Amino acid sequence: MTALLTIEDLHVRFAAPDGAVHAVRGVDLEVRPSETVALVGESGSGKSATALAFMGLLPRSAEVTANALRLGDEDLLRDGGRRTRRLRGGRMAMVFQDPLTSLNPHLTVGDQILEAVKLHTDLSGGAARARVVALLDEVGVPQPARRALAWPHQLSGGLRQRALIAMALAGDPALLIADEPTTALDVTVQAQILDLFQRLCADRGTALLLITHDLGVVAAAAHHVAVMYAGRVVERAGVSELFSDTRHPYTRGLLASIPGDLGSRDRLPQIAGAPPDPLDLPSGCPFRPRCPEEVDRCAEEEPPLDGPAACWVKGEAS
Amino acid sequence: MTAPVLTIHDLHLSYPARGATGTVHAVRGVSMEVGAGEVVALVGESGCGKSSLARAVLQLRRPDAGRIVLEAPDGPLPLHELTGNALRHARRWMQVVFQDPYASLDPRMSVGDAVAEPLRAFGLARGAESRKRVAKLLEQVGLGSAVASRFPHELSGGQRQRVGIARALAPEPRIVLLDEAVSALDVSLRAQVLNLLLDLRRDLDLAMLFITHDLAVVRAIADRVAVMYLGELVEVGFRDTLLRSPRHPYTRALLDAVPVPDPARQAGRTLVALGGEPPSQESVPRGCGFANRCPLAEERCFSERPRLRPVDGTAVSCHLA
Repeated sequence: MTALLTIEDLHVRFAAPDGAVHAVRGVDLEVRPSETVALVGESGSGKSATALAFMGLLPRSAEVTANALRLGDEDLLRDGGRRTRRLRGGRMAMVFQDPLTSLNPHLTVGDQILEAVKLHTDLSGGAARARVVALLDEVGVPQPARRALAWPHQLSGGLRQRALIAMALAGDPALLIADEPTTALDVTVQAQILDLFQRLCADRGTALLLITHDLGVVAAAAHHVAVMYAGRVVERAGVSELFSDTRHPYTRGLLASIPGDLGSRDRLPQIAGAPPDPLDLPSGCPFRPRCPEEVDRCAEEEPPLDGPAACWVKGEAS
Repeated sequence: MTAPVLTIHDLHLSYPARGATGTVHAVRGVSMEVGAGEVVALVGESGCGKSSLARAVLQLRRPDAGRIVLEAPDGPLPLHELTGNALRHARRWMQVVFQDPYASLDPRMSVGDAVAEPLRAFGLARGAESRKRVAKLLEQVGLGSAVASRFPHELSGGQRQRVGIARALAPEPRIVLLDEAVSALDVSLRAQVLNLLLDLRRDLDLAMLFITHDLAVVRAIADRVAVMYLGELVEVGFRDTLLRSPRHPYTRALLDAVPVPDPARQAGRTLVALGGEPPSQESVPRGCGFANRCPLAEERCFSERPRLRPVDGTAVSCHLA
């Protein structure tokens, strides 16, 4: 099946007082219909910048270049962002981490979803309102007709996130990008939202790009995974391969630093040091200063992502 | 066994409801203890009352009723009765680390001054002696004494949280209360800070009350776990027992909702174990607070409030456990 989201060689640069921050350094990514791809990384790894660049939501000061940004066969690079604006909220939609700051406190939840319905469908009047209630129902909001009249502050975090997902679904998107959608939510609510995403992929054929730092969420929700570090994808695999045949030392460090099930009071394995300063990346592989596997070549040349992992030591396909 | 460092007995805390006439019953009769050198994790979801409990324990908010006793080197201090200077001095023995290390440090104060502040405030050290102790504390939390002259904005999130920990350790407290202290950190930095806390506990025999919603943190650091729901403790037990065989249906649902970072094991589990939402804290049900979401609830659960009682070494508040 052809990809719905295609990103080829994406670069994002931000102007900073001490020089340009090269936040995304050549990312390739694909998401197919009905598929969930997890984009994993820590703060500053470039995962959100990648998504925002695709959605055309970065500030004007950001410099975005790419070989290709495509939604299906629509070329998003061609007409200076007009196409992106037309498709955004319609065929492609985005859900953010914090459901309270993404909602307008002065409008009822229903009215905000109604705006999206009117903008992206031919419905109006009673039919549009009925659609709002149907969307809230679809995302599992109990008593949807009553909740449509509620103000954002009257809803719990889980219900607010559902309302935002309902809004994102108003234009019947083929692609949904969710940036840390459950990070601010409790685990029992997170479980409900992840289940909702799974149903959307299965029932509507939605392609989902799920941005997260939580490897538990990845295991539960994703089909494919791309791990980002210092602005690049450093490992790419199907979800079971990522966990069973982990290649990149960074990914292995991340997995190891999750507290195990039970047992010892030993120290957790940890990745030494901190992510590099984007204004001052080390030579060669940016993970090198924290890497337990470093060899001479790592300082000389940044490893490409030719096989499963961008690593001179562990990168070969088996 | 020596006396617990912290004893909380039948604590109640309520607030007037926002913009209305009702009352929010945030903490409803919580009793618990933290032993010397023990790490107790208090877990629960947003709105369960865990942060209200922390505020009451710290006396940042006066509880409606209940006792909070802190065992200081020269005898027990009944925090709920203390005021003014007596309360201020008592705080030396119980320090706190908050979630957001950026918001809890003064941006205009250097790291060294921030760590020295409690030493000065409690009259413990000045001048050269203070500088010496600050340097030692910064070494102890793995920052090195050179950061003393830096300012919070020059530090990463993980480093700032270490400064918060150094500051909490400065007056040599007997217990530190950590309110979601590692929740804002990335995975790799979180492991570093948890390891630091494990080291400190071993080296200083420090007791900790660790408030968190993150069960991964519980696994890493807790000796005992207290699970809170709708203002009450529903289960209290040793970590391994509680995680391996949870007795309360809510504890079970909470554990089931955590995705396992292993697709092979995750494939055999259903994540959604719990529907609905907790009842409003303004109209707390007469019976069990969890009954309306509980898959096992019987008639009795809606009419009769269960109390914590021992079941196989764990304390559980459930008629059916």
